[in-house]
Amino acid sequence: MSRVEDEVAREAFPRPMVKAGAWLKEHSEEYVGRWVALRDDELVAVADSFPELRSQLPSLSGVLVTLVT
Amino acid sequence: MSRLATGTGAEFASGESPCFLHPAVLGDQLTRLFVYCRIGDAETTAVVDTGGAFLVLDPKLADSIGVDHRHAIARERIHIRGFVQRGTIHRLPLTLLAAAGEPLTFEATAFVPEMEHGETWPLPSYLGWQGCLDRIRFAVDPVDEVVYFGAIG
Repeated sequence: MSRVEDEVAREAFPRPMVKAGAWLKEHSEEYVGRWVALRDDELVAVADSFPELRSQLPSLSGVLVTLVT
Repeated sequence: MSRLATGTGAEFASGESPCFLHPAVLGDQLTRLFVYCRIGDAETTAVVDTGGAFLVLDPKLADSIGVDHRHAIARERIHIRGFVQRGTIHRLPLTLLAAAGEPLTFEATAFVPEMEHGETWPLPSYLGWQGCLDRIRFAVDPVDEVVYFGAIG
């Protein structure tokens, strides 16, 4: 991939991960011990376990799910 | 990617992704490197732990993506954060998500801790060295918080 293509790929990147790291750094104390689902930097679900979180979401597509530790 | 090459001139990495530095557990003084990955159908985060072994998974996450302890290929005891933890060994596809280039999917050896009834796994998922990170090429830029990865061979 050329440098230009590389830059285009970065700019076009739609995944939730880019902002999720910043959200986790900022909010981890509030949600420690809980599973969260993030769409970009928007919190879309919170639960005590992954199965419970999954049951709250119509689909896992487009969201990042993680245990806040 | 094009900025990294092996000794033969081949591309070192086929994909790259943002990563971030954060304590593994609230209260830890040291930060760990978190990367983005797909386990089963869940896009999630995991800690890179070159001093550890296996892909260590939350047992309920493992159960939810269909990992069946009755079909384990082995049982193991490993040290995690100073404690001996019993668990089962499985082979699972693991994907490192890419922000540029291609995601990388490879077979990882996963360790699923066995919990007592009512116990909850309190730790993030870990990408350990043996059985996981030793199956790929990777490099980290801690300044720009980018991880580069590619297949071996």
